[in-house]
Formats: sequence, structure tokens, C-alpha cells
Amino acid sequence: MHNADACEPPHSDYESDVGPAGLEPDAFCPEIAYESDAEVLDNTSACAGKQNHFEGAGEVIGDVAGFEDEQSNLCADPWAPFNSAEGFKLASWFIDGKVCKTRINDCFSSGLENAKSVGYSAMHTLENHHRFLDPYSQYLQWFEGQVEDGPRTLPFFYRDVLGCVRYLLRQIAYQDDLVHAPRREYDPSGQRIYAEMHPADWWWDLQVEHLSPTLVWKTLAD
Amino acid sequence: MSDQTNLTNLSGDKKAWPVYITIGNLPSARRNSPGSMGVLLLALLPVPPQLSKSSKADRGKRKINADTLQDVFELIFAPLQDVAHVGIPIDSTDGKVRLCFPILSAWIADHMENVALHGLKTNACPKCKEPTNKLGTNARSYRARDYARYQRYKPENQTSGSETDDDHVMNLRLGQNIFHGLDRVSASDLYKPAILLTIYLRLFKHMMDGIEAFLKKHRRLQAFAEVWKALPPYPGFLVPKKAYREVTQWQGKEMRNLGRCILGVLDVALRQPGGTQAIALKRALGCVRALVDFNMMAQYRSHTPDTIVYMEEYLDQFIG
Repeated sequence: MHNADACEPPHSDYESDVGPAGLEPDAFCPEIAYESDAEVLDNTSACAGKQNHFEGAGEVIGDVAGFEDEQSNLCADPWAPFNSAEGFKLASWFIDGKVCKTRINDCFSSGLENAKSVGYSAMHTLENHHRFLDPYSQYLQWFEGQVEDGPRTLPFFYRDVLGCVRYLLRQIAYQDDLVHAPRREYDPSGQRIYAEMHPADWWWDLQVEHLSPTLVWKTLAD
Repeated sequence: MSDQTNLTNLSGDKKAWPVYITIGNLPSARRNSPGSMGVLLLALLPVPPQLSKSSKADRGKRKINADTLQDVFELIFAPLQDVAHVGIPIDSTDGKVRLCFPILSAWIADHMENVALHGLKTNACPKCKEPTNKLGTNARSYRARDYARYQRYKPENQTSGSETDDDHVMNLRLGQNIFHGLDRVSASDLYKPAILLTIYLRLFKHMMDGIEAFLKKHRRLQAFAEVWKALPPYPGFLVPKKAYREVTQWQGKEMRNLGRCILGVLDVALRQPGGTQAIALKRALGCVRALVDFNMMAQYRSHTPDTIVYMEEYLDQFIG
């Protein structure tokens, strides 16, 4: 638990900066930090400090079209578009190992790998499958711009900044991590905890600035 | 975040200037772990040719470069402008749609890039109005820069073609702040210190220059080098392979390692002080200790007002 001693400056323990698990040190007990990541306020938790949520922030305004189908398809056929776990694992091995295209084609043409059991026999199919696995890659399209630099014209390349944000917010891998609303977190002794972007004041202040005066007044009254 | 970097040396000296983007909704542990793909490449900027520092003929060229950069960023950030106030519905990973307000909130870059992007002179602070000759003191009374005001009076000065006194005090340079005009973005708040760029590559480097001069003055350089060479291995600590003077490149990794052992090495190197030296040596140790402590605290993943007060105290101690 957090106590006064926990905030004493580290005097001579310089080796303590990397813990046994390779984690950075924390001023608080790990339970508090993890608890604060919970999306739902839980007053019954013994270790958690107080949290203030910003009312109305991160509200849902609708459902993503086709999301249910997407989920059920994923559950029904987790290895899609590969026809078996073996095919998927081999493809991951190729890609993680950065095996070049010609070597992958060689692998199948020389009969080292049985194309029937993995479901594909050439790099071309594998590339298509790979593209299928990242359905949001259209958000990350590159655009080319031109800059006049005296007699020369220099090219530069950029992506749509909103596309990048959409891509990151839509990644299934981040499902459990994404935070959609600012909140204020306190440890049991009532001190504010600043650990991420959402418990800091910037986000909160900006949201207050945006919302209607009645809601701002309500928040202040709280 | 952005960083200009060399791609190839020898064959044409190609340079690239990548800009990366990530979102604050992801917890930092997730965002920063390699392989999480939480950081995307947003743009590859055109690299302006190197210009000589003094030539007046280059002044016009420099202005063109600054304007070009401004245009490029305007193009890249244009989609953000449209949605800063009204928001935009974005699909979330949990199958829900939320009204989102993507706003630029931080820019991590080294000092030279920060001043280039903010349109300042190289020896100016991008965050506050502290005059150059006061940098390095712990004055906290200077207000944040009001970049919007700079833009308002800039055009008039440019027509007269001369720098005003105010320009001089503010350390402004030709060209604009590229973040100017972005709705709901406070340009002076964009600058964020990073452990690698601010502490390791600037503060630690500054400290080592001071230590070297100090050791030379007190004839302890030899003792320091001997202790450095005799460092024993320890878990989590890489024994330096080279003698202290032989290390030519002090990058982040070397500086991090140095931060772990410098206090011990210095303490041994400064042992048995002579009568008059004692106070100076003690002060030097106190100063180094303050910065090392500051560095350790800066690595905390979470802070409370208490830890921030400690960090401020360490910084005051180091500067004092």
C-alpha cells in the first residue's frame, strides 16, 4: 500500500531502476496503477484510490456497421483466410523471419513444403491472405506531394493524418487498452496520480472547454 | 514526433526526415513497446539543402525553405483543422462509434528541430520567453511564448526588412511557426522533454563537460580514468569496454550506462580531498547526485505532486 515512505526519494539504490521483471519503478503499489486502468469505476476495490470520471466523455453515438458479422466470422473461422492453423503458422514464420519472396516460392517449388496441407503454394496467394488480415490498410494510403525548390521539384510523401488515427483506433489488438475519456485518479492518501495522458489535466481541460456551459457548471459544482 | 536522419553516408549522402504519429488513447506501456505498431509513419518530409550560416544571399533561400515547410505541414494537418471543433465520428475497436476530436498535443523532437519548427533562433527556448543569457538559471518566472501574437506582428516586420528589438528579445527567426493556425493547439505546449533528448543528450553531456573541467582543475582526471577502467560487472550494468577518454560517441545508451555509475566513480575519484578542496569536491558530488536523482525520478511511470516536488528540488540543487 502507499504510505509516506513510498514517496521518499531513492537515495543510493541506483540499480533499482530496472526491476527483476524488467519494469520501470513506480512510485505506487502496482495494484493502484493497474486498478486505475479499469474502464469502470469500482468503489468496492480495496486498493484503488478515488477516481473522477468526466461525465459524457467517450460516449457511444452508434454501432459500427457489420461489426457483429465480423466478430461471428472471426469466431466461426479463426484461421481465415488460411484454411488451417498450420498454414497460418507457416505464413507467420515466413513473415517474422523476413524470408524473401523468391525463397518462399523456392520452398514450395522444391517440394519442401506440402502446398496441399498449408493451402497455398506461392507468394502471390500468401500476399493476398496477408492483405486480407489487415482490412484497414486502406486508411494508410500514401499520397505524393510536390515542393518547388528553385529549379528543382522535390517530391515528398504523406499519409492522411485522420486515416492514421482511424487505423489505430480500429485495431482489434488494442481492444483492451484503449481509453476513451479523461479521468482524475487519486491514490488512497488523496494525491493525484499522473501516469498517462488521460489522467492529466490537458485532456480534461480541453473537454471542459468544448462542452456546453450547463455541463461545465455541473462538473464544477461536483 | 520527427527526427531528421542520415540514410546513407558515402553514396550520395541521402537524408530522410520522417514524421511519426500515435494516439494518446493508448497507454504508454502499450504504445512504446516495440512490435505493438502503435506508432505510424505519417510523412517523409523534403529535406532542405544545407546552407551556410553567415551568407546573406542564403537568407532568401532560408526564408523559402521555411515557407515550404509551412506549406507541407499545412497540407498534412489540413484534415485536423476541419474537425477540431465539430469532431468526427470514428469507429472504435469495440464495435461502437464515438465522436472524436483528434488534436495535436505533443511533438517530440530534438532541440534543433524544435527551434526550426517553431521558427526560433537556435539558442532560444521553444517553451517560454526566457532570454538567452538567463538560460541555465532556474528562473521559473518567464511566461510561455504567445506564438499567436508573434504571427500577428510578423508580416509588418518582414515588409520593413529589419529585425525589431522585440524580435531580438524573443529570438525569432525568419519563417513561421509551423503549428500556427492549428485550431485548439497551443504551440508553446507542444514541446515535450524526452529522457533521451533532454536528459541524456543535453543535461548529462553538459554535466560531463563540467566534470571534466573540474577534474582537470583539481588534478583528478587520472584517478577518474583509473576508477572508470576498474568498474566491476553488475546485473543491469554494462561494463564500459573503452577507457573514458577513448569513448568518442556518447549516445543515449552510453549516457544511460554512465548515469548508473558516474556517482560512484566520481566519489572514489574524489576521495581524500586536501584541506581547501574538500568543500568544492563535496559541492561537485552534490550537483552530480542531484542530476542522477532527477534522472531516476524522471523514469517513473507515474507521478504524484510529491514526486514532482522532489524533481524540482533536484533540478534546483543541480543548477544551484
